[in-house]
Amino acid sequence: MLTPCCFTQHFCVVKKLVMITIVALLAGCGGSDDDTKIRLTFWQFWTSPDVKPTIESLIAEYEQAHPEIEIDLVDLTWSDGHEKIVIAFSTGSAPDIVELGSDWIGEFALKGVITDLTDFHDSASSDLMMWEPARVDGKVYAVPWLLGTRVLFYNKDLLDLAGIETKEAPRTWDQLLDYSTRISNLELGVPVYGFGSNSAERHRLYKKFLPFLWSNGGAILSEDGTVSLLDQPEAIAALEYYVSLSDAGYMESQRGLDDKFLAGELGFIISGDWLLRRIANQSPQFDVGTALIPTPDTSDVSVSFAGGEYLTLNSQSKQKREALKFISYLVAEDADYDFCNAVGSPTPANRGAASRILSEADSLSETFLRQIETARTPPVHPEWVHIEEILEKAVEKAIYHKSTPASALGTARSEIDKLLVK
Amino acid sequence: MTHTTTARRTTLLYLLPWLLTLALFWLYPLLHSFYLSMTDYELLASESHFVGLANYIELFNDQDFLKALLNTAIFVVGTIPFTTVFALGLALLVNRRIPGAQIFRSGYFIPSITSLVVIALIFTNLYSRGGYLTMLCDLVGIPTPERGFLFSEGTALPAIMAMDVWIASGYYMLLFLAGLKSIPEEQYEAAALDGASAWSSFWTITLPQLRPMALYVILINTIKSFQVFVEIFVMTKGGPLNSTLTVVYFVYDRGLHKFLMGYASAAAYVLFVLIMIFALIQMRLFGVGRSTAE
Repeated sequence: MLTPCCFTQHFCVVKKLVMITIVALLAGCGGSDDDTKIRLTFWQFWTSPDVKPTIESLIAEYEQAHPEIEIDLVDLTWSDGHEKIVIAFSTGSAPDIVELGSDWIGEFALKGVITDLTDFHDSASSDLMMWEPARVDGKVYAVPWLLGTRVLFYNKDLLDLAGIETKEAPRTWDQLLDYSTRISNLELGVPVYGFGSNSAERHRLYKKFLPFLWSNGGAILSEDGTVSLLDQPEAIAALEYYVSLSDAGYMESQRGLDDKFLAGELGFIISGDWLLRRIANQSPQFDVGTALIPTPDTSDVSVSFAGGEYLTLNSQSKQKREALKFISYLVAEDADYDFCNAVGSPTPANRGAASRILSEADSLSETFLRQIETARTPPVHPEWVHIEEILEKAVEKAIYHKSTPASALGTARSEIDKLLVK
Repeated sequence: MTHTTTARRTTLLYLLPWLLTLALFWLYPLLHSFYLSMTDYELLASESHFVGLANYIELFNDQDFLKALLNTAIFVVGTIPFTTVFALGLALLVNRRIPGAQIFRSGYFIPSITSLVVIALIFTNLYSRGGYLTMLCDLVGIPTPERGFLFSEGTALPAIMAMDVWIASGYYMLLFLAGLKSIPEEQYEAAALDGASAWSSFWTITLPQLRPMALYVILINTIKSFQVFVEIFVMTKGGPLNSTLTVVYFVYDRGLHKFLMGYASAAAYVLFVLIMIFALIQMRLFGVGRSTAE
């Protein structure tokens, strides 16, 4: 149900107008301040009380070192931040610096609203990791700030109970399926399950399938981006395996799986660094381990899904030089280290910060830093939102047994190919 | 300057804030989006072209949109009779002079003043595989869907519909209660004197006099149900396998997720026309204006 002001379906346009009004009001408020200062606006998503103070103190430190600069911090939320950014860019009221999720960079770069930062990349490329999602048509449009990846979390106690004496995490697909089945078959009074498999949650399910696709040598698109490779044998085998894993496991939403894992009722789940923080807070009653996502064979490279937070520069900004200087301050070793510690993320984009974190990390976090080295991000493509949906629906159809992996992927391939020739 | 023009100006001045808001945030977007629905406008795109009815033609060949229409129709038809009957039943119950009626009245109304997002999150837990509803069903031996109510194709939409009936009934109960209060007590007394049973006085006194309120309830509820969105957005995002995709979610997804503003506006207009047709039919069925002629 919509609120009365959105009585019609045209809330989109209403939002646009509201945004213009808000931005106009904000601009109006700014006038009274000291005009000699250079004001930079920075839109970002970190609003939690654990992280926001760190960002504020990083900014305060920067302003102290650069008295001519003043930074306006504006918070966004994940539920509607993307829409606000799009609307701000399309009405010409976007900030100088904006934080973007890695999978959004392509769309903004291709519309020409964010600045080409290739020169900055050339000077800083070796200091920072994971430039791939920022690379569009050979140019670089964003600066990596904070990364994230998915690893395998496992319950050592359940492994022990299932007779896997080494308590070692599975390394191959066969082992993962075998261990999962053995755990599911345990009779412990409370039902326990082997593998926690994601149900049809939008924008999440495909991220769980990709590590299996990539580790098996498959890909969504060809190297040059002209055709889809989803109907190739590597892709079909990966989905067939994923379906068998899902069938043998317990299907729930990510949140439900994380809860169930923490309750000690799941052997394995693939999850991200948010689960590390929950483990630290709740200290579950069992021995937790993390491991690289299993591969078809021990000799294969484990390629997980990665994403991250990137900093971008508005192409309409009148103070690009100053803004870029501030961005480079944020992604430098010290600031990135502080920021990551506040977030509780083990994977900063800055390599120096990463090695500092690695030297202090426990074995759970260490896996993240090893996994990120070989992790991959989805391809950057103007039609990505559509490609993502087509891929996700194919996985959905397969795990719900609405069609075979081969035919689901065959359909997906032809739908994606139709988009690619557009 | 005559007295009346001054009065008129004053009235206009007082109305101005409302009129301005109406024009700026309601009328203008309404008209502008009609124009957009005939263009290929995309957010962030530098230019857009007039495409005539192409968006509308594409919509009716879009399997997702047709599915969204079907789901929305199921939602509307499946919730409104229940909500209306429950609301009326509750109103009749709490209208009686029984101790604690006030508590029940407020109790049934609480869902309507609770944030829909909060309710949706609570129900997401209730409906989950390890949730209380599943446990309850297991306890009494009712089979539950293997993947939880919200992640099974057959139960996802009905589960959301049931939640919606629960939320909405209390609000419409209050409206019916207002309607019941306005029926003069003397009519019931007269009926009782004539020896009418409770049933027949309900049938001949209560129901006919509740007619305007019933129309209002059904009309408002129909419009709201056609626009179901927040529940879908929070609970299922249209999944699994499009089984909870509704028209407004479709509009949101195409417009704000995929930026196809022109296409989304066309879908919104189809919904607009549908709601209008339904509203007209309902008003005709209930004979609006007839009561004033009597």
